Order: sequence, then structure tokens, then C-alpha cells
Amino acid sequence: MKKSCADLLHALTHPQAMASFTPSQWDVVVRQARAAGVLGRLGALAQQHGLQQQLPEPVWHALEADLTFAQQQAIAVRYELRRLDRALAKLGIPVLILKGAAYVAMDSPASDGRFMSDIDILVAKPHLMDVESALTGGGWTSQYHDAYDQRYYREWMHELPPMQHLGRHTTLDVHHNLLPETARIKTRPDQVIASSHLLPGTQCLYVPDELDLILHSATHLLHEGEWGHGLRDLSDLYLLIAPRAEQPDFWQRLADRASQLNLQRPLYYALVELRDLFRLAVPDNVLSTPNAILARLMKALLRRGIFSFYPDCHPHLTGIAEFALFVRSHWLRMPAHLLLPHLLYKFWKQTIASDKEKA
Amino acid sequence: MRLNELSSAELHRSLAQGLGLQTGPFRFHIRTRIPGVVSGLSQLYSDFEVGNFDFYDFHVRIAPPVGLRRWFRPQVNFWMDEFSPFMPLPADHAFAQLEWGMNWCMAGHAHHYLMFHAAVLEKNGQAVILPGDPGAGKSTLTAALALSGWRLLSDEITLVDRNDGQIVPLARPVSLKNASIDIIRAFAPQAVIGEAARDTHKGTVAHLKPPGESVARMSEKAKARHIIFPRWQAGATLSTTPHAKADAFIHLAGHAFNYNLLGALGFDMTARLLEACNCQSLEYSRLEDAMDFFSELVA
Amino acid sequence: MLISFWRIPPTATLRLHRWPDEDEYVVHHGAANATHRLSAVAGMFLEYLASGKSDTSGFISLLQELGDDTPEITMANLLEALQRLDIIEPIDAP
Repeated sequence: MKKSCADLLHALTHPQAMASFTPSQWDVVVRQARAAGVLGRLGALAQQHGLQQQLPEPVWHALEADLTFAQQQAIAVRYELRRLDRALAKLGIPVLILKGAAYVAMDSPASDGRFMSDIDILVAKPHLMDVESALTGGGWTSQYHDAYDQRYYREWMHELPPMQHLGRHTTLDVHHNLLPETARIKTRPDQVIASSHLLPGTQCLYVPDELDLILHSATHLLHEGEWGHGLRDLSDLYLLIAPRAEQPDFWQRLADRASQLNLQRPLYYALVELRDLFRLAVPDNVLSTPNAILARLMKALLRRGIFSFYPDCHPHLTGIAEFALFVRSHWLRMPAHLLLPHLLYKFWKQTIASDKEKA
Repeated sequence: MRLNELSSAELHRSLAQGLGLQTGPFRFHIRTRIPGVVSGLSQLYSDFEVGNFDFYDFHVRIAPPVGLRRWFRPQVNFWMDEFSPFMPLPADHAFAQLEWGMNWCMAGHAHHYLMFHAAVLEKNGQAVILPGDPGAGKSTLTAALALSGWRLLSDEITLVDRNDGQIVPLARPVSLKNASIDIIRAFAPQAVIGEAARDTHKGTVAHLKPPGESVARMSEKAKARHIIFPRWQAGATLSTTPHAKADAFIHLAGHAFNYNLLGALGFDMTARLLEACNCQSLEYSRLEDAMDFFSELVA
Repeated sequence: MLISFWRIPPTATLRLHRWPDEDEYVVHHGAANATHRLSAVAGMFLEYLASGKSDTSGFISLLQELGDDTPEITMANLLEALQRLDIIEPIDAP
């Protein structure tokens, strides 16, 4: 039995609507939101609009529970950033904070009620080894010891293998590009660093310009293959864009910057989803289509991927659609001859591992 | 409506579609066709409120996994929505798996409450919390107290309300392991104990039906007044000593499900609990002696 | 021994608690979200700092009054342990 996600989507953009949801509506919305990772976000929105008393008590408890979790994670991120600043300050290079950690650092609405597992930072490629040494000295260690995974991350992707702090269990992803070296789309991390500004109270931590935050979020949505979080990422993007959308030159500046960074395509797809699902008013001239047929196919795949978090929301083909998107996501990141062996290797490793557990 | 008002056929049918069950502040939507689960619910949850509610805190399912293990040495899986937190288990552990699954749902999500891994019972308006490491005899003690006129609030998860610091009951069946099962049968021959699941990761497990009055009063919160650390020791005469509160604090926090998640609030709530409670360690071997001790504690 | 000056970092948001008739303290470091059990002297030192004092010499005198025969060693151990937990940080002489 398919259930529409209309109520959930509406709540994410018009929080006051939550005050009039019936318990039956909530029975669906809470489960969808929990699966999509946006239940804490609903809690934050409900709190901001003073709706706690107007919601049925068990509903508010569920929202509050995830909100509490997200708030504690934000505290942990702020502390982690402080330790990071201490560990890397001596290198004298800008360390760019990306995505969720940036939202927390900047107190952006996109951080409200948001779960996050990793901290993402970006440094210029020449400094990668120095950064890794400084981190290791500060107590972080690489999670992946397998030589193949190490190579995958270092050579082909755009990051060091994820690092974990020994004492604190936080995971740090150190990138040197917004997209991998081997990706078909070449972008300009140096420009993002150049436009970033120092986070007050720190010595070496920088946060991206607001336009770049938006573009990176759009790129992440399309390229990272983390389909469980598609709706959450879209919600983040909505909260980043909506407050600015009325500013006179905002859309033009966004389109121009997308051109500069060669990220027009991801922006296009993200904006289409925001317009169609979140009813964001996007000026037509910003949505210049790359290629009509490709665009239609891409839209369909993306839509299914975004709703893959909850079975009742997605049409039959999602299993294939999800995989196709995952493959495309990797396709964009790695040339074909490198891609297949990697996916096979990962599959083999997972299968062997699970067989070992059963033995 | 109470579960025991449903005929056997009605119960089977309702559970196949999904039946609502109220336990403390939570409403579970339970869907299953597994006979062991149906009979377990019928026997041990007979006094519980069931029905079709508008909103459920958790939607759970016990069902066979897809594939061969449906028929050959059948297994079952527990789901909360589309998430399955445990490995599949043999079908004759199905009821135990439902119990563990319900605990998992609450422990993982109910952060309106601070949740300790402890048992809690009430008498004369005073709730007694029993934290304890495995092997301390906590579940035997809990079952015996519940069968001796104490109101059972919970045997595994003690819920503290973040708004008023009071203990919130669940009144669910008491989980008994291995030797406890026979001890409780001997202690109270009239007690209703469900079918045992053998060779689980915890050994042999069975569940004691909660007293009807505990179930009837599941919406009554209680004020915590005592924290008793029990330790069963073969041949020991009953002895009790004061237990340092700083130590009790660290123990409770270390054995809580969501102390860290609640951050400063968790610290404040635990500190307030310890302000309000008398803390003691208890060593005993004879269940009857322990019963007397607890009676005097709240007299 | 060298006199040094310390404070509780303002961002730490410490919560400190002790029960009557008991020696030990429990402390919550808000920023790090870490809970620790502290010895009597460690807790006392935090109360000392929280009252506005910052110099180790004053606390060493206190330890002497309480009957500690090796107050400098106690002080050094305390500083090392608490600093590792990020509960105190050195400052310049006021």
C-alpha cells in the first residue's frame, strides 16, 4: 500500500501545518521522517514555531527525542572543531569545513535537528600529507587498513581514508577536492577556498561562502550515492536557499558561481527537485536544461532515489533505480575501467565477510 | 479492551493484520503470524489494553526472513518498520525476540526519558530501583518482589521522566534466565511462566506474567526513594551497607541506555535522582530474607 | 616549585556535584559531554578555581593545612590529570 509523502514534504517547508495533523497522519509522518533522518528536523521546526503544546504528546516526544540527539551531536561537533583547530593551527594553512559541520559552525538553519556522523574538511592537495601527520599526532587514526581501500580513497576519490579519533569516536573525512580527481566533471576547490572566510574564534578553520555551501550541497545530493539521506540533503538545501530566495540578485549570483565552479548540472537537478517537491519558486531562466532526454531520465532516477528511504513512498522499480543512481554516482567519480573492479571487490569483500560470520 | 477479551481466532486474525498494544506510555503496533508469539502474547499479556489506535510509537513485526530459512530449521526476524536490528533467531525463540525487540525500540528511541538498565518496583508510594550487573540475581529478585505484593514497574528498563523526575511504568513480563526460572517456580508455584526458549545467547529464557494490578496501574508514575544494589552470594547471611552516591552515580550512568545522548540533562537528572534516594548495597542468599528486607525498607 | 595559574575554560560548562558526608565528586564537562568521578582534592581544586582564584600556591597551602605531606606532588598530579581531561587550562599570571 503506497503512502504519499506529501504531509512530510509539507511539514518540512510549512512547519505550522504540523499543528493541524491528525494522529493518523502523524502515524505515517513520524515513521517516514524517522526513516529519512529528518525527524529531528521536524522537532527543531516545531520548537522554533512554538508548536510543542499543539502536538499530541507522544508525537512531540518522538520529535523531541531525535531533536535531543541532533543537539547533542552538534555539541560534539563544536568540541571536535575546537580540537581540530588546535591540532592544525601550526600548519598555517586554511582548513575548510564542509557540509554538516559547516552548518553547525555557522549556526545555519540547515544544522537544526540534523543528524551527522562525520566531519568533512577540505585542504589544498599539496598539504594533505602534512595534515595527515598533524592529525595522527593529535590522536586521529586511519580507519581503513586494507591496502585496496587506502588506494581507493587516496588515489581515486577525493579524500583521505576516514580518520577516527582514538578517544572521541568522531569520524573525520579529509578531502582535497569537492569531487574526485577521476571525476568527469572538473571543479575548482581553489576558488572555494579563496572565497571562504575564517570562522571566528579559531585560528585556521574556514567556512565556505554561502553560495558555495549551496552548490556543494547540490553536488553532494547528486554525486555521493548516499540515497538514505537524499531527502535530508534536500531539506538542508531548502533551508540554505529559501531565506535568500527573495534577495534581488541571489539567483543570478548563484547561477554565475555555478558556472565558475563548473557545477551547473548538479545545481539544475537539485533546483528541479526543490521546485517540484518543496514548491520552491525558482526563476525559469536559472533552469536551463542541459539535454532534454537525459534530463528527463535523470529526474526520474533522482526522484526514486530520494524516496528510497521508505518503501511505501517509492514505486516498484526503486531497487534498480537506486543501483543505477549509485552506479552513476560512481561513474561520475571514476572512469569505467576503474569502476567495475572496485564494485566487484567491495561486493566480494562483503560476501566473504558475511560468510565468515556464519561459519 | 483487554487482550483476553479476544477469542483465539480473533487474536490470530488481529495480529496477522496488526494489533495495537499499550505498555506504559507506549503504543506498539504488533504484526505477526508466528504461533509462539501469538501464544506468548495470549498467555503473558492477557491483561493488557489492545485495540486499533490512531498513532503508534512503534510499528513492529515478527516474521520469517525471505528465503530458505522459512522452512528448514525455521528462523524469525524482528523488524521495527523496515529496520531489522538483530540477526534472525530460531523460530522457537520468537516470543523472546519480540520482548528484546520492544526493549530495543524504547532504549533506542524514547529519549523523552532517561533510561537505566535496572529493575524498578513500588510499594507504599516508594519506588525502589535495582541496578545490577548480570549474575547479581536482579531478575529473580524482581520476579519474587512482584509476586509478593510489590507493584512491578519494569524489570529491565527504568524510565525517568525528564519533566518531573518520576519513574514511568511499563509493567511488562519479567524476563527470567536459567536457574531463576526454577527458583521462581519453587517460590511461587501459582505464577504463570511462559514457554522457555532454550539455547538463546542468554541461555534458557522464559517470561513471568506481570501481576494484574501492576498492569492495571501502568499509567501511575512513582517517586524513586531507594536505590539498592543487590548481590546474590551462595550461603551468605543477609547484610546491607550504605552505597556511596558518587559511585552509584557512575554505575547508573555507565549502565544507562541514553545517559550520554542526554548530555547535561542526563547529568542533572541522575544527580536529582540520587539526591532523592537512599543508596544501599545488599548481599543475600535466601529469597525470603531479601523479601523481608525490602518490606522493612518501605514500611 | 614553579607557581602557575589555571582556570576552568569558559566554554567547558562544568557541572560539579558532591553529596553530603561523601568525599568524591562527579563532574560533567558540557562541551566534551564527558562525565568523570573525581577525588576529593580534585573536586576541591575545581571549587577553588570556580571561586575566582587561579594560583597553585594558594591551593598547595590548603593541601598542607589538610595534612598532605607532599602537597606539591599532589598538585602536580592534579594539574596533569585535570588538564588531560580538558577541565582546566593554564593562564598567564593575572
